[in-house]
Amino acid sequence: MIRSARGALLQLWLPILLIGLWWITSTGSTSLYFPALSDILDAVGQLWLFEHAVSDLLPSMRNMLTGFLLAVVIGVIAGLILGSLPRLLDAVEPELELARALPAVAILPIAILVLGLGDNMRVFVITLGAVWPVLLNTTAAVRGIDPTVRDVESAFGIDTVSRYLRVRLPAALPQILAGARVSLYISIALLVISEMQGAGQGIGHFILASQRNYAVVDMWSGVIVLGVIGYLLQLAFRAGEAALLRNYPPQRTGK
Amino acid sequence: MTITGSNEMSTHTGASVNPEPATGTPEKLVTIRDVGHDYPTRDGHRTVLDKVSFDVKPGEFVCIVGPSGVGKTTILRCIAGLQPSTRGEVRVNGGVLKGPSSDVGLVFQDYSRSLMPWMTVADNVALPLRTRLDRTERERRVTAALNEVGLDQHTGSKPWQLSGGMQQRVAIARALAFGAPLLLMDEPFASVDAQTRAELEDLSLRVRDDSGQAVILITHDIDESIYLADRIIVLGGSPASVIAELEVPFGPHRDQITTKSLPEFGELRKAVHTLIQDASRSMGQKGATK
Ligand SMILES: Nc1ncnc2c1ncn2[C@@H]1O[C@H](COP(=O)(O)OP(=O)(O)OP(=O)(O)O)[C@@H](O)[C@H]1O
Ligand SMILES: [Mg+2]
Repeated sequence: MIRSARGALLQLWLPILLIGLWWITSTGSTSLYFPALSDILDAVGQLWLFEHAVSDLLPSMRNMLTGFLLAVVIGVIAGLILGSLPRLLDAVEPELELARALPAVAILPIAILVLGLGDNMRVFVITLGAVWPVLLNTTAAVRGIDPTVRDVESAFGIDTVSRYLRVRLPAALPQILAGARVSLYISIALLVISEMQGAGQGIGHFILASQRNYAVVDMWSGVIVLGVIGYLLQLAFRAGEAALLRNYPPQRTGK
Repeated sequence: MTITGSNEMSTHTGASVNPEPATGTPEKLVTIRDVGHDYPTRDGHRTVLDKVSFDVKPGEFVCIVGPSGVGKTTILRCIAGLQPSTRGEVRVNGGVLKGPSSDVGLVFQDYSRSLMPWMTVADNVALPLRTRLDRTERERRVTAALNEVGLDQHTGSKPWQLSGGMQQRVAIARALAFGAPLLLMDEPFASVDAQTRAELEDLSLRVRDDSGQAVILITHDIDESIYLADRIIVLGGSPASVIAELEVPFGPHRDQITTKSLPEFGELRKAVHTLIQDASRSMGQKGATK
């Protein structure tokens, strides 16, 4: 108890300090672009509890989580196969490098052309951008599995399904999760970007629309909500990661 | 188990090829005939093994010794089917080996790599049996194997929660539960302390007695090879072949202290030591045997 409280304090002192500074320096601010923090927090309470949470936050989160989960599923499956078949990997590596180097943002106009302005386009862009860390980490992890493990697989005649699901997937899991964590950040960023084009709702749309209407306080409230959501998602991710890695030797869990 | 009653050690050079065809008679579980192996190099290939021939009877405990780098691991991987031999033929249970076989179980040297850290001890042992056996039979075998190696109290632990010796016992249990008539071990006790090593040696002897499996074990430790083996096979030369086979006349029941203080033990130690020393001298490198 005491230790975890102390840990929380260690983690939180800087944010608390910065928020305090922000609060003090912005009090009575007349600047159009940097309104008083107290006004922003008022707006957060009024706008996001709970009217816009339902109209904007919910659809945004749905798109983001769909895109992120699709990215993880696709990345893990493709990575398991590519990492297991070195010759296939050699054949597609140049294309992979090219595709990865292309920022997902650059795909946005094309995605809009092909898929229109709806949720499908947003999910597509998020998946496309977020798939790489998972895919590359999974590939590298599977390729790096100790040769002894490969020998165990073949010496004991372990069937293909078990090889993938019981040996390679769990062997790669710590690295897959490290990749997925990066993918989560990317998903949030791409969510916002994808909503800045022709969206009728969503938190990214809300921020941009507020800015265009000079509703600066509202805009800041959206930014703050986004930050808090991002932080909570990371907390949830870490909890999930710890649960998934509880069977692994301590030094392998993440960091 | 056929153990020669006499005290004399029959030492014969292995270059002579047994002319009779291997027909899978029950007298021979493994027949290795003229096995050769090349590793590819930048300019062509390097012949590591040439005309390796020997047999293993059912239930027999065979130790392979030889200078470091002579090709012991290579021949074991050929017998395991992990690495098809370039020349010659390996027969297990009468059939020519073309790849990994359910007739061959394997214990690797490095338990920390060969066991799956995220699986419990019981799941590790059960892994090779998943698609082979139904649940009840699988559980029965896993329990029996873990009892045999004395780990019945640790079925739910993760390998990394156990000591090195216990982890290697998990690996032995896995090979045991696999139920193959032949067990291969490549320096299985090289990374545990002396006390644990002695325990694991006695465990291997007991497992062989109880299961009737034949064992081929590679070791760098001459005393270990004499203590465990019914027959010692010495590899030497470059490319390597069998330079000597020594019968060890101690019978199935051995004891770390009394067996090792028998006069024949000392004679065998001297003989094996000389053979390995000569072999490593002729390889032009230092033997890594103690
Ligand atoms: N994959 C490989 N490719 C090329 N050469 C190899 C390969 N594996 C082994 N060798 C070479 O073949 C020879 C025999 O190797 P091997 O591992 O079978 O020897 P060993 O008797 O098991 O040695 P040690 O006692 O050190 O374990 C060595 O000279 C080694 O360098
Ligand atoms: Mg070796």
